[in-house]
Amino acid sequence: MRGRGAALAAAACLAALCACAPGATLRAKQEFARFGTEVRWVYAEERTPDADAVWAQLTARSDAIEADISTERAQSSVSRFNAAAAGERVSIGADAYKMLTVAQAVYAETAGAYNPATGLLVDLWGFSPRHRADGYAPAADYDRADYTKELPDARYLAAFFDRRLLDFGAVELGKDEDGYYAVKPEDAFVEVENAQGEAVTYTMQLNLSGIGKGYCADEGGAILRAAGVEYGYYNLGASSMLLLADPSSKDGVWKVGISSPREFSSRADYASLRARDTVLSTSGDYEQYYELHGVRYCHIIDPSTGYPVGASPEEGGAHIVCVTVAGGGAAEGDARATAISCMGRKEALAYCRAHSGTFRAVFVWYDGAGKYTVYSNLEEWTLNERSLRVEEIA
Amino acid sequence: MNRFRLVRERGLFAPFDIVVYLLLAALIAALFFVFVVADTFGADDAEGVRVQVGGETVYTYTFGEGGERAQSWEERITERTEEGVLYVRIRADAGWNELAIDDAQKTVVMHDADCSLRKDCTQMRAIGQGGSVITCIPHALKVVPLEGEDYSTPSVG
Repeated sequence: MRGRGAALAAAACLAALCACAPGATLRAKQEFARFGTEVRWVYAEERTPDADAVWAQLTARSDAIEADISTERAQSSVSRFNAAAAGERVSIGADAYKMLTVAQAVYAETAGAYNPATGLLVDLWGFSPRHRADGYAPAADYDRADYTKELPDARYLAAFFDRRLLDFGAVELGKDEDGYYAVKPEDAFVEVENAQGEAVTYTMQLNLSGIGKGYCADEGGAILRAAGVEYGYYNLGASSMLLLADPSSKDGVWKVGISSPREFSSRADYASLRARDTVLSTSGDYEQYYELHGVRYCHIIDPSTGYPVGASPEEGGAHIVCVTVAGGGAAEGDARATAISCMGRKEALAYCRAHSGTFRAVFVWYDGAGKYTVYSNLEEWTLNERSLRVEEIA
Repeated sequence: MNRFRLVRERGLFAPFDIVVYLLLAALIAALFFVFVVADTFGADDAEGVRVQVGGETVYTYTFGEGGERAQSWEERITERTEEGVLYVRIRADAGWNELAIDDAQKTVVMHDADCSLRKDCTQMRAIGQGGSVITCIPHALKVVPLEGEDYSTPSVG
Protein backbone atom coordinates (compact mmCIF):
# COMPACT_ATOMS: atom_id res chain seq x y z
CA MET A 1 0.00 0.00 0.00
CA ARG A 2 2.81 2.36 0.84
CA GLY A 3 4.55 1.79 -2.46
CA ARG A 4 1.32 2.02 -4.44
CA GLY A 5 0.21 5.12 -2.59
CA ALA A 6 3.44 6.91 -3.31
CA ALA A 7 3.37 5.85 -6.93
CA LEU A 8 -0.24 6.99 -7.28
CA ALA A 9 0.55 10.35 -5.74
CA ALA A 10 3.56 10.83 -7.98
CA ALA A 11 1.52 9.96 -11.04
CA ALA A 12 -1.22 12.40 -10.03
CA CYS A 13 1.29 15.18 -9.50
CA LEU A 14 2.83 14.50 -12.85
CA ALA A 15 -0.58 14.52 -14.50
CA ALA A 16 -1.42 17.82 -12.84
CA LEU A 17 1.80 19.37 -14.02
CA CYS A 18 1.26 18.05 -17.52
CA ALA A 19 -2.06 19.89 -17.60
CA CYS A 20 -0.09 23.10 -17.63
CA ALA A 21 1.31 23.36 -21.13
CA PRO A 22 4.74 24.93 -21.48
CA GLY A 23 4.43 28.69 -21.80
CA ALA A 24 5.48 30.56 -24.96
CA THR A 25 6.85 34.07 -25.04
CA LEU A 26 4.29 36.35 -26.58
CA ARG A 27 5.46 39.56 -28.19
CA ALA A 28 3.48 42.35 -29.73
CA LYS A 29 3.91 44.83 -32.51
CA GLN A 30 1.49 47.69 -32.72
CA GLU A 31 0.68 50.90 -34.45
CA PHE A 32 -1.52 53.78 -33.47
CA ALA A 33 -4.16 55.62 -35.39
CA ARG A 34 -4.64 52.99 -38.05
CA PHE A 35 -8.35 53.18 -38.89
CA GLY A 36 -8.56 55.62 -35.98
CA THR A 37 -7.56 52.99 -33.46
CA GLU A 38 -4.69 50.80 -32.29
CA VAL A 39 -3.72 47.77 -34.34
CA ARG A 40 -1.76 45.03 -32.66
CA TRP A 41 -0.22 41.78 -33.78
CA VAL A 42 0.64 39.32 -31.01
CA TYR A 43 2.85 36.42 -31.96
CA ALA A 44 4.82 33.61 -30.36
CA GLU A 45 8.41 34.77 -30.41
CA GLU A 46 10.01 31.34 -30.65
CA ARG A 47 7.78 30.29 -33.52
CA THR A 48 7.89 33.43 -35.61
CA PRO A 49 11.46 33.89 -36.80
CA ASP A 50 10.63 36.56 -39.38
CA ALA A 51 8.39 38.71 -37.21
CA ASP A 52 9.80 42.00 -38.48
CA ALA A 53 9.26 41.01 -42.10
CA VAL A 54 5.73 39.77 -41.41
CA TRP A 55 4.91 42.96 -39.54
CA ALA A 56 6.20 45.04 -42.44
CA GLN A 57 3.81 43.16 -44.74
CA LEU A 58 0.90 43.63 -42.35
CA THR A 59 1.46 47.36 -41.99
CA ALA A 60 1.97 47.85 -45.72
CA ARG A 61 -1.28 46.04 -46.44
CA SER A 62 -3.27 47.90 -43.79
CA ASP A 63 -1.86 51.17 -45.08
CA ALA A 64 -2.96 50.34 -48.60
CA ILE A 65 -6.45 49.42 -47.42
CA GLU A 66 -6.79 52.56 -45.36
CA ALA A 67 -5.54 54.66 -48.27
CA ASP A 68 -8.32 53.22 -50.41
CA ILE A 69 -11.22 53.80 -48.00
CA SER A 70 -10.32 56.54 -45.55
CA THR A 71 -12.46 59.64 -45.68
CA GLU A 72 -9.46 61.54 -44.29
CA ARG A 73 -7.58 61.02 -47.55
CA ALA A 74 -8.95 63.09 -50.40
CA GLN A 75 -7.82 60.64 -53.08
CA SER A 76 -9.24 57.50 -51.48
CA SER A 77 -11.93 55.67 -53.43
CA VAL A 78 -14.51 56.50 -50.77
CA SER A 79 -13.61 60.20 -50.67
CA ARG A 80 -13.85 60.45 -54.42
CA PHE A 81 -17.20 58.65 -54.41
CA ASN A 82 -18.47 60.96 -51.70
CA ALA A 83 -17.35 64.01 -53.64
CA ALA A 84 -19.04 62.79 -56.82
CA ALA A 85 -22.35 64.10 -58.05
CA ALA A 86 -25.44 61.92 -58.14
CA GLY A 87 -25.36 59.68 -61.18
CA GLU A 88 -21.60 59.95 -61.55
CA ARG A 89 -19.40 56.93 -62.15
CA VAL A 90 -16.25 56.81 -60.01
CA SER A 91 -13.25 54.56 -60.52
CA ILE A 92 -12.40 52.75 -57.30
CA GLY A 93 -9.59 50.55 -56.08
CA ALA A 94 -9.74 46.77 -55.73
CA ASP A 95 -9.97 46.90 -51.95
CA ALA A 96 -12.82 49.37 -51.98
CA TYR A 97 -14.61 47.27 -54.59
CA LYS A 98 -14.27 44.09 -52.53
CA MET A 99 -15.40 45.83 -49.36
CA LEU A 100 -18.37 47.41 -51.08
CA THR A 101 -19.34 44.04 -52.54
CA VAL A 102 -19.30 42.45 -49.10
CA ALA A 103 -21.11 45.49 -47.73
CA GLN A 104 -23.90 45.12 -50.25
CA ALA A 105 -24.25 41.44 -49.43
CA VAL A 106 -24.58 42.14 -45.71
CA TYR A 107 -26.86 45.09 -46.43
CA ALA A 108 -29.20 42.72 -48.21
CA GLU A 109 -28.76 39.94 -45.65
CA THR A 110 -29.69 42.29 -42.80
CA ALA A 111 -32.47 44.11 -44.68
CA GLY A 112 -30.53 47.34 -44.44
CA ALA A 113 -29.63 47.17 -40.75
CA TYR A 114 -26.03 47.41 -41.89
CA ASN A 115 -25.89 50.43 -44.16
CA PRO A 116 -22.63 52.21 -45.00
CA ALA A 117 -24.51 55.00 -46.78
CA THR A 118 -25.03 56.78 -43.44
CA GLY A 119 -21.96 58.97 -43.93
CA LEU A 120 -23.86 62.25 -43.69
CA LEU A 121 -25.64 61.18 -40.53
CA VAL A 122 -22.35 60.03 -39.00
CA ASP A 123 -20.89 63.44 -39.77
CA LEU A 124 -23.96 65.27 -38.52
CA TRP A 125 -23.84 63.52 -35.15
CA GLY A 126 -20.12 64.25 -34.73
CA PHE A 127 -18.47 60.89 -35.33
CA SER A 128 -16.41 61.48 -38.46
CA PRO A 129 -12.60 61.40 -38.21
CA ARG A 130 -12.51 65.20 -38.22
CA HIS A 131 -14.46 65.22 -34.96
CA ARG A 132 -11.88 63.02 -33.28
CA ALA A 133 -9.10 65.46 -33.76
CA ASP A 134 -7.97 68.26 -31.57
CA GLY A 135 -8.66 71.59 -33.22
CA TYR A 136 -12.08 70.65 -34.55
CA ALA A 137 -13.86 73.72 -35.86
CA PRO A 138 -17.28 73.95 -37.50
CA ALA A 139 -16.86 73.71 -41.23
CA ALA A 140 -20.12 72.45 -42.68
CA ASP A 141 -23.34 74.46 -42.56
CA TYR A 142 -24.80 71.91 -40.16
CA ASP A 143 -21.87 71.83 -37.76
CA ARG A 144 -22.37 72.87 -34.14
CA ALA A 145 -19.67 74.70 -32.20
CA ASP A 146 -19.68 71.90 -29.63
CA TYR A 147 -21.51 68.88 -30.99
CA THR A 148 -21.41 67.21 -27.56
CA LYS A 149 -23.54 69.95 -26.05
CA GLU A 150 -26.16 70.56 -28.68
CA LEU A 151 -28.31 68.28 -30.82
CA PRO A 152 -28.27 68.53 -34.61
CA ASP A 153 -30.58 70.86 -36.45
CA ALA A 154 -33.81 68.95 -37.09
CA ARG A 155 -33.89 70.15 -40.71
CA TYR A 156 -30.58 68.47 -41.46
CA LEU A 157 -31.57 65.38 -39.51
CA ALA A 158 -34.66 65.04 -41.66
CA ALA A 159 -32.75 65.80 -44.87
CA PHE A 160 -29.95 63.30 -44.20
CA PHE A 161 -32.50 60.66 -43.25
CA ASP A 162 -34.00 60.90 -46.73
CA ARG A 163 -34.28 57.45 -48.30
CA ARG A 164 -32.56 58.62 -51.47
CA LEU A 165 -29.36 59.19 -49.51
CA LEU A 166 -29.57 55.86 -47.71
CA ASP A 167 -30.42 53.53 -50.62
CA PHE A 168 -27.07 51.74 -50.56
CA GLY A 169 -28.46 48.85 -52.58
CA ALA A 170 -28.86 51.19 -55.52
CA VAL A 171 -25.13 51.82 -55.77
CA GLU A 172 -23.93 50.06 -58.89
CA LEU A 173 -20.61 48.23 -58.61
CA GLY A 174 -18.73 46.73 -61.49
CA LYS A 175 -15.53 46.06 -63.33
CA ASP A 176 -14.66 46.70 -66.95
CA GLU A 177 -11.55 47.22 -69.03
CA ASP A 178 -10.88 50.47 -67.14
CA GLY A 179 -10.96 48.79 -63.75
CA TYR A 180 -13.38 48.75 -60.85
CA TYR A 181 -16.07 51.39 -60.56
CA ALA A 182 -19.00 52.50 -58.44
CA VAL A 183 -21.93 54.59 -59.68
CA LYS A 184 -23.74 56.91 -57.32
CA PRO A 185 -27.50 56.56 -57.85
CA GLU A 186 -28.96 59.34 -59.96
CA ASP A 187 -31.46 60.40 -57.31
CA ALA A 188 -29.06 60.16 -54.38
CA PHE A 189 -29.12 63.85 -53.46
CA VAL A 190 -31.12 66.36 -51.42
CA GLU A 191 -31.07 70.12 -51.18
CA VAL A 192 -31.12 72.01 -47.91
CA GLU A 193 -31.36 75.73 -47.44
CA ASN A 194 -28.61 77.01 -45.18
CA ALA A 195 -28.69 79.93 -42.77
CA GLN A 196 -27.84 82.32 -45.60
CA GLY A 197 -30.80 81.15 -47.67
CA GLU A 198 -28.65 79.29 -50.16
CA ALA A 199 -29.67 75.86 -51.41
CA VAL A 200 -26.87 73.42 -50.76
CA THR A 201 -26.84 70.01 -52.43
CA TYR A 202 -25.83 66.95 -50.44
CA THR A 203 -25.30 63.58 -52.10
CA MET A 204 -25.01 60.05 -50.72
CA GLN A 205 -21.92 59.65 -48.54
CA LEU A 206 -20.34 56.32 -47.73
CA ASN A 207 -18.60 55.38 -44.50
CA LEU A 208 -16.83 52.01 -44.41
CA SER A 209 -15.71 52.21 -40.79
CA GLY A 210 -18.15 49.41 -39.98
CA ILE A 211 -16.38 46.96 -42.27
CA GLY A 212 -12.86 48.27 -42.88
CA LYS A 213 -11.19 46.76 -39.83
CA GLY A 214 -12.76 43.41 -40.52
CA TYR A 215 -11.58 43.46 -44.11
CA CYS A 216 -8.10 44.34 -42.89
CA ALA A 217 -8.25 41.37 -40.48
CA ASP A 218 -9.10 39.07 -43.41
CA GLU A 219 -6.20 40.40 -45.46
CA GLY A 220 -3.91 40.16 -42.45
CA GLY A 221 -4.95 36.57 -42.01
CA ALA A 222 -3.96 35.77 -45.57
CA ILE A 223 -0.52 37.28 -44.97
CA LEU A 224 -0.04 35.35 -41.74
CA ARG A 225 -1.10 32.06 -43.31
CA ALA A 226 1.16 32.60 -46.30
CA ALA A 227 4.04 33.26 -43.89
CA GLY A 228 3.30 30.02 -42.05
CA VAL A 229 2.35 31.81 -38.83
CA GLU A 230 0.10 29.54 -36.79
CA TYR A 231 0.06 31.14 -33.37
CA GLY A 232 -1.07 34.48 -32.04
CA TYR A 233 -3.73 36.99 -32.98
CA TYR A 234 -4.18 40.12 -35.03
CA ASN A 235 -6.29 42.68 -33.26
CA LEU A 236 -7.70 45.81 -34.85
CA GLY A 237 -9.03 48.16 -32.23
CA ALA A 238 -10.37 45.21 -30.21
CA SER A 239 -13.38 45.28 -32.54
CA SER A 240 -12.03 42.92 -35.18
CA MET A 241 -9.76 40.13 -34.06
CA LEU A 242 -8.27 37.33 -36.08
CA LEU A 243 -7.42 34.45 -33.73
CA LEU A 244 -4.86 31.84 -34.68
CA ALA A 245 -3.81 29.26 -32.07
CA ASP A 246 -2.65 29.85 -28.51
CA PRO A 247 0.89 28.51 -28.19
CA SER A 248 0.51 28.09 -24.43
CA SER A 249 -2.59 25.93 -24.31
CA LYS A 250 -2.62 22.24 -25.09
CA ASP A 251 -5.46 22.49 -27.60
CA GLY A 252 -4.38 25.86 -28.97
CA VAL A 253 -7.61 27.45 -27.82
CA TRP A 254 -7.57 31.02 -26.57
CA LYS A 255 -9.67 32.27 -23.74
CA VAL A 256 -10.92 35.65 -24.90
CA GLY A 257 -12.57 38.21 -22.67
CA ILE A 258 -15.53 40.25 -23.91
CA SER A 259 -15.41 43.73 -22.42
CA SER A 260 -18.24 44.84 -20.22
CA PRO A 261 -20.28 47.59 -21.87
CA ARG A 262 -21.14 49.03 -18.47
CA GLU A 263 -19.64 48.94 -15.00
CA PHE A 264 -21.82 46.11 -13.73
CA SER A 265 -19.06 45.32 -11.24
CA SER A 266 -15.31 45.70 -11.08
CA ARG A 267 -14.90 42.96 -13.68
CA ALA A 268 -13.44 44.06 -16.97
CA ASP A 269 -15.16 41.32 -18.99
CA TYR A 270 -18.81 40.36 -18.73
CA ALA A 271 -18.17 37.10 -20.57
CA SER A 272 -15.38 34.93 -21.96
CA LEU A 273 -15.30 32.57 -24.87
CA ARG A 274 -12.92 29.86 -26.00
CA ALA A 275 -11.87 29.88 -29.62
CA ARG A 276 -9.06 29.44 -32.08
CA ASP A 277 -8.58 29.90 -35.84
CA THR A 278 -11.56 32.14 -36.20
CA VAL A 279 -12.54 35.79 -36.26
CA LEU A 280 -14.33 37.83 -33.65
CA SER A 281 -16.11 41.10 -34.34
CA THR A 282 -17.50 43.40 -31.69
CA SER A 283 -19.64 46.48 -31.83
CA GLY A 284 -20.76 48.52 -28.86
CA ASP A 285 -22.12 51.85 -27.73
CA TYR A 286 -19.51 52.45 -25.05
CA GLU A 287 -16.33 53.40 -26.89
CA GLN A 288 -17.24 56.57 -28.74
CA TYR A 289 -20.15 58.54 -27.36
CA TYR A 290 -21.28 61.65 -25.58
CA GLU A 291 -24.18 62.17 -23.24
CA LEU A 292 -26.65 64.98 -23.41
CA HIS A 293 -29.60 65.40 -21.07
CA GLY A 294 -29.18 61.84 -19.84
CA VAL A 295 -29.21 60.29 -23.31
CA ARG A 296 -26.19 58.51 -24.75
CA TYR A 297 -25.36 59.35 -28.36
CA CYS A 298 -22.87 56.81 -29.69
CA HIS A 299 -21.07 56.42 -33.00
CA ILE A 300 -23.34 53.62 -34.34
CA ILE A 301 -26.02 55.28 -36.41
CA ASP A 302 -29.23 53.32 -36.82
CA PRO A 303 -30.24 53.65 -40.47
CA SER A 304 -33.88 53.00 -39.55
CA THR A 305 -34.13 56.07 -37.30
CA GLY A 306 -31.28 58.36 -38.31
CA TYR A 307 -30.24 58.52 -34.67
CA PRO A 308 -27.45 56.81 -32.79
CA VAL A 309 -28.72 53.45 -31.56
CA GLY A 310 -31.03 53.76 -28.60
CA ALA A 311 -31.14 57.54 -28.78
CA SER A 312 -34.22 58.17 -30.88
CA PRO A 313 -37.16 59.52 -28.88
CA GLU A 314 -39.30 56.51 -29.85
CA GLU A 315 -36.89 53.90 -28.50
CA GLY A 316 -36.89 55.08 -24.91
CA GLY A 317 -33.28 54.03 -24.59
CA ALA A 318 -33.92 50.36 -25.34
CA HIS A 319 -31.22 48.93 -27.60
CA ILE A 320 -28.44 46.39 -27.98
CA VAL A 321 -25.49 47.88 -26.12
CA CYS A 322 -22.87 45.47 -27.42
CA VAL A 323 -22.55 42.43 -29.63
CA THR A 324 -19.77 39.99 -30.45
CA VAL A 325 -19.95 37.83 -33.56
CA ALA A 326 -17.80 34.74 -33.95
CA GLY A 327 -17.16 32.94 -37.21
CA GLY A 328 -17.53 33.65 -40.88
CA GLY A 329 -15.28 36.17 -42.60
CA ALA A 330 -13.97 39.11 -40.63
CA ALA A 331 -15.34 41.73 -43.03
CA GLU A 332 -18.77 40.11 -42.92
CA GLY A 333 -18.49 39.78 -39.13
CA ASP A 334 -17.61 43.42 -38.74
CA ALA A 335 -20.64 44.45 -40.79
CA ARG A 336 -22.89 41.91 -39.08
CA ALA A 337 -21.90 43.15 -35.63
CA THR A 338 -22.72 46.70 -36.71
CA ALA A 339 -26.04 45.49 -38.12
CA ILE A 340 -27.05 43.61 -35.00
CA SER A 341 -26.31 46.71 -32.94
CA CYS A 342 -28.95 48.51 -34.98
CA MET A 343 -31.60 45.82 -34.67
CA GLY A 344 -34.36 45.49 -32.14
CA ARG A 345 -34.22 42.48 -29.86
CA LYS A 346 -36.66 40.27 -31.79
CA GLU A 347 -35.07 41.14 -35.09
CA ALA A 348 -31.59 40.37 -33.75
CA LEU A 349 -32.69 37.04 -32.31
CA ALA A 350 -34.32 36.01 -35.57
CA TYR A 351 -31.28 37.06 -37.59
CA CYS A 352 -28.81 35.22 -35.34
CA ARG A 353 -31.02 32.15 -35.34
CA ALA A 354 -31.37 32.13 -39.12
CA HIS A 355 -27.60 32.34 -39.66
CA SER A 356 -26.37 30.15 -36.81
CA GLY A 357 -24.74 27.87 -39.35
CA THR A 358 -22.48 30.73 -40.47
CA PHE A 359 -21.78 32.64 -37.28
CA ARG A 360 -22.61 32.68 -33.60
CA ALA A 361 -23.18 35.72 -31.44
CA VAL A 362 -23.63 37.09 -27.97
CA PHE A 363 -25.26 40.42 -27.32
CA VAL A 364 -26.43 42.47 -24.36
CA TRP A 365 -29.89 43.98 -24.58
CA TYR A 366 -30.86 47.00 -22.52
CA ASP A 367 -34.57 47.47 -21.98
CA GLY A 368 -34.39 51.19 -21.33
CA ALA A 369 -35.54 50.74 -17.74
CA GLY A 370 -32.34 49.60 -16.09
CA LYS A 371 -32.38 45.92 -17.01
CA TYR A 372 -29.73 44.15 -19.06
CA THR A 373 -30.10 40.69 -20.54
CA VAL A 374 -27.49 38.59 -22.32
CA TYR A 375 -28.49 36.55 -25.36
CA SER A 376 -26.09 33.99 -26.76
CA ASN A 377 -25.69 31.02 -29.03
CA LEU A 378 -21.91 30.86 -28.73
CA GLU A 379 -20.58 27.35 -28.47
CA GLU A 380 -18.03 27.63 -25.68
CA TRP A 381 -18.48 30.60 -23.46
CA THR A 382 -18.81 31.64 -19.84
CA LEU A 383 -20.79 34.43 -18.27
CA ASN A 384 -18.50 36.24 -15.86
CA GLU A 385 -20.97 38.85 -14.72
CA ARG A 386 -23.28 36.81 -12.55
CA SER A 387 -25.69 39.67 -12.01
CA LEU A 388 -26.84 39.47 -15.64
CA ARG A 389 -29.67 37.29 -16.83
CA VAL A 390 -28.89 34.96 -19.73
CA GLU A 391 -31.14 33.61 -22.43
CA GLU A 392 -30.17 31.32 -25.23
CA ILE A 393 -30.59 32.24 -28.86
CA ALA A 394 -32.32 29.03 -29.85
CA MET B 1 -6.13 -13.58 2.20
CA ASN B 2 -2.47 -12.88 2.46
CA ARG B 3 -3.12 -9.34 1.34
CA PHE B 4 -5.78 -8.80 3.93
CA ARG B 5 -3.42 -10.08 6.58
CA LEU B 6 -0.74 -7.72 5.29
CA VAL B 7 -3.06 -4.73 5.52
CA ARG B 8 -4.17 -5.76 8.99
CA GLU B 9 -0.60 -6.11 10.09
CA ARG B 10 0.84 -3.01 8.47
CA GLY B 11 -2.21 -0.76 8.57
CA LEU B 12 -4.17 0.92 5.75
CA PHE B 13 -1.86 3.86 5.47
CA ALA B 14 1.75 4.24 6.29
CA PRO B 15 2.81 7.66 7.65
CA PHE B 16 4.62 8.56 4.43
CA ASP B 17 1.52 7.78 2.37
CA ILE B 18 -0.50 10.25 4.42
CA VAL B 19 2.08 12.98 3.82
CA VAL B 20 2.03 12.33 0.09
CA TYR B 21 -1.76 12.40 -0.05
CA LEU B 22 -1.86 15.68 1.88
CA LEU B 23 0.66 17.21 -0.52
CA LEU B 24 -1.40 16.00 -3.44
CA ALA B 25 -4.57 17.52 -1.98
CA ALA B 26 -2.75 20.81 -1.41
CA LEU B 27 -1.52 20.80 -5.00
CA ILE B 28 -5.01 20.18 -6.35
CA ALA B 29 -6.42 22.92 -4.14
CA ALA B 30 -3.74 25.35 -5.28
CA LEU B 31 -4.36 24.56 -8.94
CA PHE B 32 -8.09 24.94 -8.39
CA PHE B 33 -7.57 28.34 -6.80
CA VAL B 34 -5.22 29.60 -9.51
CA PHE B 35 -7.14 28.40 -12.50
CA VAL B 36 -10.72 28.59 -11.28
CA VAL B 37 -11.28 30.85 -8.30
CA ALA B 38 -8.82 33.60 -9.13
CA ASP B 39 -9.86 33.57 -12.75
CA THR B 40 -13.56 33.63 -11.89
CA PHE B 41 -13.37 36.54 -9.53
CA GLY B 42 -10.70 38.34 -11.42
CA ALA B 43 -7.60 39.94 -10.05
CA ASP B 44 -7.63 43.46 -11.33
CA ASP B 45 -5.16 44.96 -8.88
CA ALA B 46 -2.31 46.71 -10.61
CA GLU B 47 0.94 47.58 -8.87
CA GLY B 48 1.05 50.86 -10.68
CA VAL B 49 0.95 52.21 -14.20
CA ARG B 50 3.25 53.07 -17.04
CA VAL B 51 2.44 55.90 -19.47
CA GLN B 52 3.69 55.57 -23.03
CA VAL B 53 3.65 58.15 -25.78
CA GLY B 54 4.35 56.79 -29.23
CA GLY B 55 5.65 53.62 -27.62
CA GLU B 56 8.13 55.46 -25.36
CA THR B 57 7.66 55.19 -21.60
CA VAL B 58 7.48 58.76 -20.30
CA TYR B 59 6.14 58.25 -16.80
CA THR B 60 5.69 55.46 -14.31
CA TYR B 61 3.76 55.43 -11.08
CA THR B 62 4.05 52.77 -8.41
CA PHE B 63 1.29 52.66 -5.81
CA GLY B 64 2.67 53.43 -2.40
CA GLU B 65 5.89 54.84 -3.84
CA GLY B 66 5.07 57.63 -6.24
CA GLY B 67 5.77 58.67 -9.80
CA GLU B 68 8.86 59.00 -11.90
CA ARG B 69 9.30 60.96 -15.11
CA ALA B 70 11.57 59.93 -17.93
CA GLN B 71 14.57 62.21 -18.07
CA SER B 72 13.69 63.82 -21.38
CA TRP B 73 10.12 64.42 -20.26
CA GLU B 74 10.75 66.14 -16.94
CA GLU B 75 9.63 69.53 -18.13
CA ARG B 76 6.61 68.20 -19.95
CA ILE B 77 5.04 66.36 -17.03
CA THR B 78 3.62 68.17 -14.03
CA GLU B 79 2.00 66.83 -10.90
CA ARG B 80 -0.43 68.36 -8.43
CA THR B 81 -2.40 66.88 -5.59
CA GLU B 82 -5.97 67.77 -4.74
CA GLU B 83 -8.01 66.09 -2.04
CA GLY B 84 -5.77 63.06 -1.97
CA VAL B 85 -5.77 62.52 -5.74
CA LEU B 86 -2.63 63.04 -7.78
CA TYR B 87 -3.20 64.73 -11.14
CA VAL B 88 -0.45 64.15 -13.65
CA ARG B 89 -0.47 66.25 -16.82
CA ILE B 90 1.56 65.05 -19.75
CA ARG B 91 2.18 67.40 -22.65
CA ALA B 92 3.05 65.58 -25.83
CA ASP B 93 3.58 67.20 -29.21
CA ALA B 94 0.01 66.37 -30.24
CA GLY B 95 -1.58 67.73 -27.05
CA TRP B 96 -1.98 67.09 -23.36
CA ASN B 97 -3.56 64.42 -21.18
CA GLU B 98 -4.18 64.48 -17.46
CA LEU B 99 -4.36 61.37 -15.34
CA ALA B 100 -6.02 61.15 -11.92
CA ILE B 101 -4.20 58.69 -9.67
CA ASP B 102 -5.83 57.61 -6.42
CA ASP B 103 -3.10 55.85 -4.50
CA ALA B 104 -5.39 54.82 -1.65
CA GLN B 105 -7.84 53.13 -4.01
CA LYS B 106 -5.09 52.02 -6.42
CA THR B 107 -6.94 53.36 -9.42
CA VAL B 108 -5.88 55.43 -12.40
CA VAL B 109 -8.26 57.16 -14.77
CA MET B 110 -7.92 59.66 -17.61
CA HIS B 111 -9.29 62.81 -16.05
CA ASP B 112 -9.01 65.25 -18.93
CA ALA B 113 -7.40 65.82 -22.32
CA ASP B 114 -7.51 68.18 -25.26
CA CYS B 115 -7.66 65.39 -27.85
CA SER B 116 -11.16 66.18 -29.05
CA LEU B 117 -14.50 67.51 -27.86
CA ARG B 118 -15.63 63.98 -27.04
CA LYS B 119 -12.50 62.98 -25.11
CA ASP B 120 -13.07 59.29 -25.65
CA CYS B 121 -10.08 58.43 -23.45
CA THR B 122 -11.85 59.94 -20.41
CA GLN B 123 -14.72 57.49 -20.88
CA MET B 124 -12.53 54.42 -20.48
CA ARG B 125 -12.65 52.38 -17.33
CA ALA B 126 -10.14 53.10 -14.65
CA ILE B 127 -7.16 50.81 -14.34
CA GLY B 128 -7.75 49.13 -11.02
CA GLN B 129 -11.51 49.12 -11.51
CA GLY B 130 -11.89 46.72 -14.36
CA GLY B 131 -9.93 48.62 -16.97
CA SER B 132 -6.71 47.19 -18.30
CA VAL B 133 -5.57 49.90 -20.70
CA ILE B 134 -6.43 53.55 -21.29
CA THR B 135 -5.68 54.79 -24.78
CA CYS B 136 -5.73 58.24 -26.33
CA ILE B 137 -5.45 57.55 -30.06
CA PRO B 138 -5.03 61.15 -31.26
CA HIS B 139 -2.11 61.63 -28.87
CA ALA B 140 -0.67 58.11 -29.30
CA LEU B 141 -0.74 57.86 -25.52
CA LYS B 142 -1.32 54.69 -23.63
CA VAL B 143 -1.60 53.91 -19.93
CA VAL B 144 -0.91 50.29 -19.04
CA PRO B 145 -0.35 48.41 -15.78
CA LEU B 146 3.18 48.69 -14.46
CA GLU B 147 3.79 45.01 -14.94
CA GLY B 148 2.87 45.36 -18.60
CA GLU B 149 0.02 44.16 -20.71
CA ASP B 150 -0.90 40.53 -20.58
CA TYR B 151 -0.96 39.34 -24.16
CA SER B 152 -1.97 35.84 -23.12
CA THR B 153 -5.50 36.99 -22.30
CA PRO B 154 -6.84 38.86 -25.31
CA SER B 155 -9.99 40.82 -25.05
CA VAL B 156 -12.50 42.14 -27.55
CA GLY B 157 -14.84 45.06 -27.27
